[in-house]
Amino acid sequence: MDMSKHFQPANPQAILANRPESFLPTQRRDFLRSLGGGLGVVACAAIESQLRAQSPNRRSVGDVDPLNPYAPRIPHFAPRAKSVIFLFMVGGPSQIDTFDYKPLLEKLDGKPVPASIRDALNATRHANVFHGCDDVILKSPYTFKPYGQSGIWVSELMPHTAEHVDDLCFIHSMQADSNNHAPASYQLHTGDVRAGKASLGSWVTYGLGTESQELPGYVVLFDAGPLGGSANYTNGFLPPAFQPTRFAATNPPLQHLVAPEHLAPGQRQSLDLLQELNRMHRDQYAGATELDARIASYELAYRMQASAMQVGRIEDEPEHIHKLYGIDAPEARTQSFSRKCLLARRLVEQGVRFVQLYDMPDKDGWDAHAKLVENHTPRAKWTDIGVAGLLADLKQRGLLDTTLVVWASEFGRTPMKQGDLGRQHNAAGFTIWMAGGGVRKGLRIGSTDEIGLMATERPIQFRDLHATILAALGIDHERLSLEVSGRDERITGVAGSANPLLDILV
Amino acid sequence: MSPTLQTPRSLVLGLRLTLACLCLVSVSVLEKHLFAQQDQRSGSTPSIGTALEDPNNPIARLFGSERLDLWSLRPIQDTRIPESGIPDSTVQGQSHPIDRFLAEPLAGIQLMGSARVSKKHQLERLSLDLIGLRASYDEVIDFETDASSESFDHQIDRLLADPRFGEHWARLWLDVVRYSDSNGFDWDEFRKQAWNYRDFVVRALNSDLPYDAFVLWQLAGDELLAGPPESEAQLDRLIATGYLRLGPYDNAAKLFNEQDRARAEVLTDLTETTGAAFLGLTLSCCRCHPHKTDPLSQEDHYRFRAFFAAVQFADSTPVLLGNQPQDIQEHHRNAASIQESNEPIDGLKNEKHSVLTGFFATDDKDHIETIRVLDQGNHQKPLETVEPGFPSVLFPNAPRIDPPSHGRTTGRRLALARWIISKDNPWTARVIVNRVWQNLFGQGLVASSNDLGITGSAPISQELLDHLSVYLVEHDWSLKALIKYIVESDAYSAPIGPWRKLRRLSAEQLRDVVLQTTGQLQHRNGGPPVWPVLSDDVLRSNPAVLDDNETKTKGWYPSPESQQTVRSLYLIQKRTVRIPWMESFDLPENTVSCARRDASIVPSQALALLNATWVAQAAGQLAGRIENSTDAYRAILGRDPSETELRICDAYLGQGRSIQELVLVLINSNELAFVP
Repeated sequence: MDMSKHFQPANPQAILANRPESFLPTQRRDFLRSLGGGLGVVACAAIESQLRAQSPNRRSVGDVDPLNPYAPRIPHFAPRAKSVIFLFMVGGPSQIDTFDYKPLLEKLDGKPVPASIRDALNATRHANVFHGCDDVILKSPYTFKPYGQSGIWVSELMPHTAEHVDDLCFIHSMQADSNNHAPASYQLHTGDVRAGKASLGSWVTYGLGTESQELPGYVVLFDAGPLGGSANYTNGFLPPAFQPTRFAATNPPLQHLVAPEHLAPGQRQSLDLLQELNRMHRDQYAGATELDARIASYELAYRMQASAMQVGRIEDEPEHIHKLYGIDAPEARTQSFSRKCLLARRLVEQGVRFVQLYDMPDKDGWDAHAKLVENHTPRAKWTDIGVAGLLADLKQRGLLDTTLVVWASEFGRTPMKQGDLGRQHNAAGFTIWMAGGGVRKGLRIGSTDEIGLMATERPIQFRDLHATILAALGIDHERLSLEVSGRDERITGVAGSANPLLDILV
Repeated sequence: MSPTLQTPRSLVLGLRLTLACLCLVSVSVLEKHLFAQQDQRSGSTPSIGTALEDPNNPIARLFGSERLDLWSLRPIQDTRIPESGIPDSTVQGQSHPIDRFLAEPLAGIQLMGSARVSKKHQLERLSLDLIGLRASYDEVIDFETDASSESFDHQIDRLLADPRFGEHWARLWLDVVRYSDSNGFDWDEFRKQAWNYRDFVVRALNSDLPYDAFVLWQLAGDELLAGPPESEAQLDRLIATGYLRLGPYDNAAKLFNEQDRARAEVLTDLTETTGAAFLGLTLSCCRCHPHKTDPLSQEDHYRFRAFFAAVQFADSTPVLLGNQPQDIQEHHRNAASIQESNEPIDGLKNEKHSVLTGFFATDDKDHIETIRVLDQGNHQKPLETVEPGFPSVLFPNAPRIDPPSHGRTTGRRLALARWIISKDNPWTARVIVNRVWQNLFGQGLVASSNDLGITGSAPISQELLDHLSVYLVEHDWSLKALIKYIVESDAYSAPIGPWRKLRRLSAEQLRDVVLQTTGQLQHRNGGPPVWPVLSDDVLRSNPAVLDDNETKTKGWYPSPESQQTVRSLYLIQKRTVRIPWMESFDLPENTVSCARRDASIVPSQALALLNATWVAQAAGQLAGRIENSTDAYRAILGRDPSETELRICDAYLGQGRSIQELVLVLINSNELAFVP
């Protein structure tokens, strides 16, 4: 890991000169029209220069000024989304009990896995999915029905989310490279089953900077983190400026945000003294831009205290908004998840680029090795209304057009029974969905076999998902790279190995 | 990728795959015909120059001869020291060979144009660089008033002999070897004995263990031992093998029948880390495909990996009781735990023995894994078998591997380690010299210190790098001798300018310096890590802590309040739960080798230093012992305030602000945050 190239001395720039520029819908439509719906390189180059002409002071994707790392940068082509809210259901919710309806399971309940399906799986790298389960099909204990204009079937676990199916795009054929939590989770976050690589949120803020200079660009929200811990959402080898900031949906929302009580009243005076001493010290070092940057960072920090407190004030929201998210629900866990959903909206509204929101209220998450119903039923209840409230709220504010919402986990679960009416991990085929941010609506792509075990039609890998999310943000994933120890690191891996799902973008 | 010209992706991919297959085949075929003049049985190698000029060089055959045109492949040259003197007669110094070497490449930057920095800054710089802590007010006065011509030499010797030298330089090495006290992945179990390795590094640096032995012990210390360790030094050889198992380990893989993946990851990690740490070779690229720019084939990665084919964790090592000198028994009590056992073990049946538990690795000679090239690095797609081998660009033939006479290990790692420290190796000395230079100057003579390849940076002065490499080897690989030689130069004491940048203190340095200057820092003589008290909210960043019991070791075990102010080196370093305050100041990921710390400047750092409770408490502690602005300046910044500073600080206090607040302001000052 070596950042030296990245941190070659840059021309000193005015630290606070960058102001967020507004993202005008009319401009966006123009870009989309000129893009012609494709990713042609010539078109991209044209659009990049167009974008550059409109923001002459901005740098390009990944061209980070180390003294002003969060300044917004120009995407490769017109973005459909400018922010991402990634809802991560930790532990592996079952696709066949939520969004991947398989009526055949009813008939096969209690029977072994059909030989053709078993043989097909055994012939793949996912054969170990059988490890640890019984050779007995367990039907879904939940009932399904079709929703909306699109008529997409959703189980009774997700009644609120189901009301939004016409805004969602389902991918039913996701696959992960490991059937264990941490490696699969690392892969969904960073593109690699091994720890040490950079997470999507870090890549996106590294690429694009962020629109708000008084709030962090990459925020994580959780009660408990994902399995595998901080290595999931880390900046890895990317410059540390792109590490995530953990917000809490309580006050104060940030660690170290407020001074110890007896020191707070004099803090402005202290800062004034500090800056005066720093300026005198600075005069000994002509051209030492690091000193200017650190002086500026203290002023920014002072303003961030106010901005972060402000954005964290969920109580300022009217009652009907609290109700919409389910913050008034009786269960503490619903309240907790819903507050995070509302905070995510408030962050995105203020220009935060990437919000990673985890549902992990306890040590298990959705990891239903036993007693599926006792695990999934409450968890769905705790999260469904908050997710639906977020979608509705973003939509009513016009933010859904520019905010990409992703609902995903590290894998799904087997149709086979494990232990006492539980299900094993399933990396061979599972469902995620996306909404907003230029994603086509009411769409389903890819599919699993008849029992929801393995992706059979159009299997999709995490790297394809990453490439798609980046494309929605106006980034060509192959050009978002950093050379680390002689190797071009990308979240999508070796060049040519990922394919953005361009057909699901408008 | 050019924005205007693009080959269809599928075509590119197809070509790459074809190329990969061709390469793999061709290397195997070629090897049999290479370097006919070489004695295959003895494995003696031709000189490097010969290998590079041989028309059969496998890398040249694969990629063309331009790949051989890489400075770091050339033998280390003992270049003549340039004559003293640039024409400008006002220039100071010029006597130290380092300054003579640098005169030419840096002529345009006026390196030597001005005198050395002030004595105060010179000592502060030296102190921060050698022991990681600030020079005190009294130390600065002593140095300033010492008019002897050897005054700086005395300071260098004093600081090199300070036991805190090893603590500071150990941190730098631990970055390179991705040290952690836990396994990583889901469970991230505490490695109760990993600190033995950390303490070994501190000991090695403080006792100036020659760097070649330092390398040898880490890679093959167990292979050097004929039997159970019989002295502290022998025990250190075993403890050093902790290097082989420092990488992340997915202990949960077996639950999902993914042991093969976990094993492949261990071998990948060892290959990549060893290549980067000791050789500056980027072996990670060629795991999946032939290296795009460097003279490394895909097969080279797997040949290198084969040296580790028999490595297994060996945390319990049998030791015969009653057969140990007093010192090792003493050591065992301190450094590793020893337990009596009645379990029969091979070769020791019916004998009373004990089991030494620590953090060790060794070979399982009966299970030497067959190493195969992996298609795209995927362990589920093995291709042809390979045998151990050094990078084929210089050493295409099979190396000679002699299993040690004790018969317990394969001799593979010993062969690798002996080659790494041999004179035939053009990388090893350069890499460590460059790391030392980087630690003293902020940037190496080669900026990319884990990458001496084509995409890495070119050295500022290869002659100087080689001169220092020769110096190191000729001085019995003494790192202290090398450090002393470098810091004696004018270049080291040059003022801040285009060539010598200000450096922000690292997270550890900053925390240590705050504790030091406020009088809180306590000495700790190694031992198990200290666990800070963190809120439940922070601990839940890995939910594994919620699923702990006495045997799982997935939890967080806060240390007593009385231990919390130790040096940062001794704080617990988990892989999945980071200490937030430290993380703010750019703690690197500890799952892969980190060549060089970043030093970002972002607002969250200002908040951490302004608002953290422990910093305010430290400021309060000092404030309770001092009376005025001058005292605060002396304690925190090691100097008296100027008249202006005194005036504005007193005015600040006059406005009702406290000494504690003034101390906190000085802790936050740029003067404290940067190496002058």
